[in-house]
Amino acid sequence: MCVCQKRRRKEVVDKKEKKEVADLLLVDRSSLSLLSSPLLSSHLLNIICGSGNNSNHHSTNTSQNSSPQTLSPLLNGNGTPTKPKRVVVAATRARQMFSFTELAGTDLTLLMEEAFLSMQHEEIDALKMVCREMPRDETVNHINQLELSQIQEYIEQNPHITTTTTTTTITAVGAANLLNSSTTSTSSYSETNHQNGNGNGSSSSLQVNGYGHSRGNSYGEEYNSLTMSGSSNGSTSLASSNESPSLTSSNSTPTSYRKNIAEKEKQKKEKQRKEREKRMEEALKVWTEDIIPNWEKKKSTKKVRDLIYQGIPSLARSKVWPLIIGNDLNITPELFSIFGARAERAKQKGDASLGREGTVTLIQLDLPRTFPMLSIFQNEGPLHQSLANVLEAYVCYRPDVGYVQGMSYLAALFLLILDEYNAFVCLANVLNNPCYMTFYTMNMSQMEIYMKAMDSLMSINLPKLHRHLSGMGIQPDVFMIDWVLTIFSKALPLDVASHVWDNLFLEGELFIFQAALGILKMYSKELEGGDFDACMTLLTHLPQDIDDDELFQHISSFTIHPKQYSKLIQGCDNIKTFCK
Amino acid sequence: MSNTGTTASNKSAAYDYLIKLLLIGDSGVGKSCLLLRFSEDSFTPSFITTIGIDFKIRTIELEGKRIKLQIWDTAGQERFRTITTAYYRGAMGILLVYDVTDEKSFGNIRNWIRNIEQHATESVNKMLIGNKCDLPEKKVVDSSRGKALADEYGIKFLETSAKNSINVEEAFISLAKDIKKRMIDTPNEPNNQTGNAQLSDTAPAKQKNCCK
Repeated sequence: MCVCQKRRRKEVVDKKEKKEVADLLLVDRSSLSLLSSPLLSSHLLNIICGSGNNSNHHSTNTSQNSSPQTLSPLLNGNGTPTKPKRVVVAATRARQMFSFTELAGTDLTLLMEEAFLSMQHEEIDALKMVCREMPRDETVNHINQLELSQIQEYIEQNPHITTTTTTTTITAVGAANLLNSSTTSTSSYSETNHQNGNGNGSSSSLQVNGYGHSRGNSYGEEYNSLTMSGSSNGSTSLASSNESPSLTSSNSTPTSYRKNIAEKEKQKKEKQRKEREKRMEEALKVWTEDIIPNWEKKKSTKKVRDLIYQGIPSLARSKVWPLIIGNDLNITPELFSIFGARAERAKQKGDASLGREGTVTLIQLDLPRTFPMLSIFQNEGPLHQSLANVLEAYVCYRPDVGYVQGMSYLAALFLLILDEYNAFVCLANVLNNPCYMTFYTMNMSQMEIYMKAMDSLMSINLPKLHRHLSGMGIQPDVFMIDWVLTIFSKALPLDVASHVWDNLFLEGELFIFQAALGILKMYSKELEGGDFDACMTLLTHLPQDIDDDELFQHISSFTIHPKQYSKLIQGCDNIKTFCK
Repeated sequence: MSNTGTTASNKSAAYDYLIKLLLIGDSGVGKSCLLLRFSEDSFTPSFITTIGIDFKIRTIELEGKRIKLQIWDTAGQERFRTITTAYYRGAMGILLVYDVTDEKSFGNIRNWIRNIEQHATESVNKMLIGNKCDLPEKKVVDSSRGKALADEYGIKFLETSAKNSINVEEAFISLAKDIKKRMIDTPNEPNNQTGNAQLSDTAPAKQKNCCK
């Protein structure tokens, strides 16, 4: 058994940690909808507990028995789970085992129900790998939907899937055969990858690195041997071998060279991802054991600041976000349910009320159009109704604002982390800020102040880019409206956006500007060298493979002093509350 | 570099004419889908909501001339009109889109036209589009009503389906043709300037609050 598997099992099985993680997740009522499938729920429980012995949830049995027959003790006579709370934890845990990037463009959110039934931990690892490998289009508009059946087929056809810590590639017998029977060697893997890149979704969905066992052309052999010999440290040995004369002499074609570079880049990214995962694992422990229990004492410390800068582990966010955001508005569960009831009435009455309650009728249209790549808010999706509930309650809570497009993204990201009530509390408290209110009420004269602030910040911090863009008539409003209204959740990959949110909640609205500068700096080369069309296209459609670490390096290269910021937005109403 | 002017004076420019189009209409009528069909010839049923504005380009060839179309897509929600009207001024052509399965979106076309009259240049070419014609069983706005409304305003009319790729190409190209003709006929018109949308430039705060 490889180290990775051992670690995962340990992670899953370690009772003490597990219980803490479980406690963290108890709030996720949103996953209740998944309980409609008792089998699923039970199986997810297995994944958490690492045991088929479901009558005892505290079991630390490491056996991988997940046979459906053992699930019966969990179910009552009606076939419904008897321990729903625990199962909810399991469902959430399963969902959170995947990053948003891995989930996007897949059926995974629906897959929880079926494929997980037969999956071992290493298979989940492999599946995560498959999901990352999936070619995706530059824009989220094009969705290469990885279908459940394909994943299952893949798992079935490849019973020997293993992941290794060194190369982190899936080495599966016949893996390359999966979608294209002619794909039997490394080189054809790469070529099909290119050919399929144009979005013939189904056939290009599963791209698996089959090079671990390939017997293809010389390159494949070279690569194969490189991988083998470098098994102690996959990425570095590969990096050095790339420069070896034998490789370059036998593969002088630009294609293989490019491929080589791409592989190198991929290995590097993979290594970074692993490192990040490890960091997060360590951070999770600190959060659960030290910071969350002592939040009031710790919240202003440098340690917390540093940890948040690093990014809150996704498993801790459900506890940490409500803590950072707080509840200055003193919203209670009762209040939430009252507004829910009012929303029901508003829907029936239509536009008759004084405020903008009538905008509740607009919400339905946007639900399936919110993060469609996650398939989770679609009409039949597990969080569809929750999203409607949160947004409708908000409209009745703030009838002066009503529903404004963009809000669905905020509520949706909260719902991916929190239960309905907490998502509502966080949404209401976050939006209760002059900057967002200015944008959500489309107060043009005030918005202009923020746009000018951004313009000034660009001219101070990125003078060359600023000159280039303003010279072409591109003003900050072309990107800032979207970035502010959705707080980057539409523009950035969700994992990166969540990381931005972590910091934003701590630092206040000026972090929006800091993050915006970071994004611009990250793409300054492309932007400065681009014409009007190129710049507009890039600014309105950021690449979806933005690297979190790289972006945060750029973000941290700027510091906006609160005094400087308050000077810039002078003239705005209620500027006092701009930063926490 | 600058994109000023409609005829590319720049030698390196890969087009003869630059035409700026704008898509407007109620939320959910399929503006972004039309744009995606036209610019990339694809369609996805699970589309994302447009927040603020979106931008895409496509270069076409008309009568031996290369025409670059810069197409601005706007958020449909009424609340966004103060923002989106800022982009009207630079547009040379506007596609007014309604959903043939949604009576309300058709009724609102008159409001959208009023908006154009207030914010766009007078000479702007307009076209009425009834989208989602692939759903005849759900259709509530008869083609004759669409045609009658278009005639009333003296503009062209087409029913389209972004999903089944019906008339999408025709709509954009027909509008582009009319604009090209107008540009040749009246080359010195002010609208044929760059007019890239600038929020601060249009100073919507000074405008009457007409589109709340």
